[in-house]
Amino acid sequence: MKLKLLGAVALATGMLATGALAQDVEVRMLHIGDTPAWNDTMQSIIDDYNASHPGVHVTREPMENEALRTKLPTLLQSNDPPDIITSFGGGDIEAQDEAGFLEDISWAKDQLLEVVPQSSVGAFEVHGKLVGVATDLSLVNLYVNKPLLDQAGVTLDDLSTWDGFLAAVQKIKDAGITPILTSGHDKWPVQHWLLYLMMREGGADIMNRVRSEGFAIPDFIKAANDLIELGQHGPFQDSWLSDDWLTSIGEFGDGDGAIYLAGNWSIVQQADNAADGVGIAPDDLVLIPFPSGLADKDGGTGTVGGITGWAVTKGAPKEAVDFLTYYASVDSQKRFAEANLGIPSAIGVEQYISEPKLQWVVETIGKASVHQLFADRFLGPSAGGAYNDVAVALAAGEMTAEEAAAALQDAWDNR
Amino acid sequence: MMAVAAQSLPYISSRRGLRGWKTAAIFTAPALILFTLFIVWPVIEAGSTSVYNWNGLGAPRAEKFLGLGNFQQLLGNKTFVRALGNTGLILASSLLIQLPLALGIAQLVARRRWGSVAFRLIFFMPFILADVAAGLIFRFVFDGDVGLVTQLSMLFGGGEIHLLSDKNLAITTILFVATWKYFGFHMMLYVAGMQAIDRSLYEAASIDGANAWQQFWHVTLPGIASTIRLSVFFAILGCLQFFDLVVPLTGGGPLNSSHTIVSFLYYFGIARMRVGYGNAVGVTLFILCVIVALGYRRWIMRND
Repeated sequence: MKLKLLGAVALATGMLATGALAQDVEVRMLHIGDTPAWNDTMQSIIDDYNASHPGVHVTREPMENEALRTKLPTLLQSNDPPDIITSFGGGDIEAQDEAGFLEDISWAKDQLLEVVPQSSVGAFEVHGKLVGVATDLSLVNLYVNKPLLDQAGVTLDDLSTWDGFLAAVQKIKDAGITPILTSGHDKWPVQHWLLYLMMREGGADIMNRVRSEGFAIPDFIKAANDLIELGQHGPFQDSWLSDDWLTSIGEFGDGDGAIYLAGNWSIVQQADNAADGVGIAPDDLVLIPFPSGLADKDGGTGTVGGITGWAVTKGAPKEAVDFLTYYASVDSQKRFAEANLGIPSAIGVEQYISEPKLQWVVETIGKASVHQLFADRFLGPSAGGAYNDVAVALAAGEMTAEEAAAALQDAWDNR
Repeated sequence: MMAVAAQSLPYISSRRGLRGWKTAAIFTAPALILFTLFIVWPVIEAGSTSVYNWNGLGAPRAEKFLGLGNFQQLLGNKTFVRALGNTGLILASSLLIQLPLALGIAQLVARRRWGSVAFRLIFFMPFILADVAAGLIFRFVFDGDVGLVTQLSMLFGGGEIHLLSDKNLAITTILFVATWKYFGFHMMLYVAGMQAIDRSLYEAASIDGANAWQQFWHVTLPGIASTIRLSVFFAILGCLQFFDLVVPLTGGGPLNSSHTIVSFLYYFGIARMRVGYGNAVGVTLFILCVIVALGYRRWIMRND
């Protein structure tokens, strides 16, 4: 009887031990996920990884952008932070790394460089170490409703230079059409105007220069005055100061305005948020670069855009980096490309991008003298927020260029 | 024997006193612990970090110590000064429009007559609605392109009305929605107060020849004076903490023209990861609330 009991205890202990050994390493992702198709594609990649990597279990938690931004600081300071988080690089990861919340994954640089280009890795190098990897690129440029332009007697060539652009705006307005749509409520769509003008007036390194030399440099003042001049034409829809991003891009999809300076996500968003759910017909929606013909210190070809990537948090298991390498590779990212869900940065993914507009985006980024990260991301959350405020105030004619420089300097110094 | 008894009395009373203290400590400990954990500790934390330039990540660093720097920046910030003004405006509209309106309607629906219960419910319903939902509903109502206000304007031959895009009018829409949303709550307080007034006072006043206005002025108002003081107290504190309607309705815009103290705290402190700065706003608000609450209870509600 005693032996039987001992045997049962030994068996149970053995099972417990085996259970402990067989327990999966869990890798938890926290990401921005407000597009169902995108979430589904991501889940399919995770499912395949989990199936082919016994002993590792990757899970994900999607959140809305703003919710994630406000929740992240608390999560990172908890005892149980997620292992991988959505990140846009720039000032965000600088602050997170300074606080000691990011893992140094420099050891994985070579394996990541086998699947993504140097720029995707470089975007996540801070303070001399690698803390993540970019997997997605985006481009901001002019989106034009061609029939409305035709109706106003404006050609695409008219929009290629800044002077021509301003004249075209007036011509479109005179034809009874709203020239430009944007969102002064969410503000970030307006910042693209100021950033592009800064690059044209100040060159490829303008953002680094304002950080080191101050915002009151002449190139910034010129760019701010350019934006004020645009605003004086009254180019935006009547409700631009209260329209949020989705409303304004929906109005663009409805044909309520001729031009939107937006990112490549707008191809889908203008249709999804249009009243008919269809938006502008593909042939009528034309993508063109931001005008040149100012000082053009960026060669007139600099572009503005974003990178979306992943930062690895302190204490994350090595499997997290292994999964990121798998996720960033062309075999995984081609699923996003084939579904027209953005522009993956994976090496060799171009062949899977079939949407002509996305192909144009890839080509334009390839030809750019510089691809500048969104200003609000580049400057970090504090000064970035002030940048968005200033851009809207300039466009609304509520602030002078000098006041804008002073406000940004103050925000930067007290970030 | 008497001497012994007299000597032992202080001993007995000190033992009793000790036992009393122990009992008090046992019974107050749970509440004291909760109060310390959820009120005192966060206030101390907020206060101690409000003197740093701190982004909320990790512990505040010594080299980022600003002293009263965050508070000085606040006073020099035009948006914060405007937020203070807006909060004052909301308070003024609450005291001068919302509460008198609530009192007037309470007078109409307090007595039991046909439909009064139904009207009480109808007027109280906006208060039941979540603030965020109310804000979103009125964002559609005031939408300059397709909203109800614009539709009505166009029906009468007018044009589109973009109230939420106008930096001078956006705060007015917030005042309107706040009045619509909260007057029902104060009305209910007044109704409860009015129903507690002894009916014989009205009968006596009536026999003495008092008309309706005189009855209201000399019987009703004194009868619900303590309720009014309580209602004003709630209104003041509610205005100081006003936030939930601002976010869905205007987000503090356009051009940061419709922020209140708390929405300023959220957008300029939390969302921009300037947590030390945000805590300076929080501390300022806390001090304001404490001064108002203690002062009001000391001087206005001292007999209630």
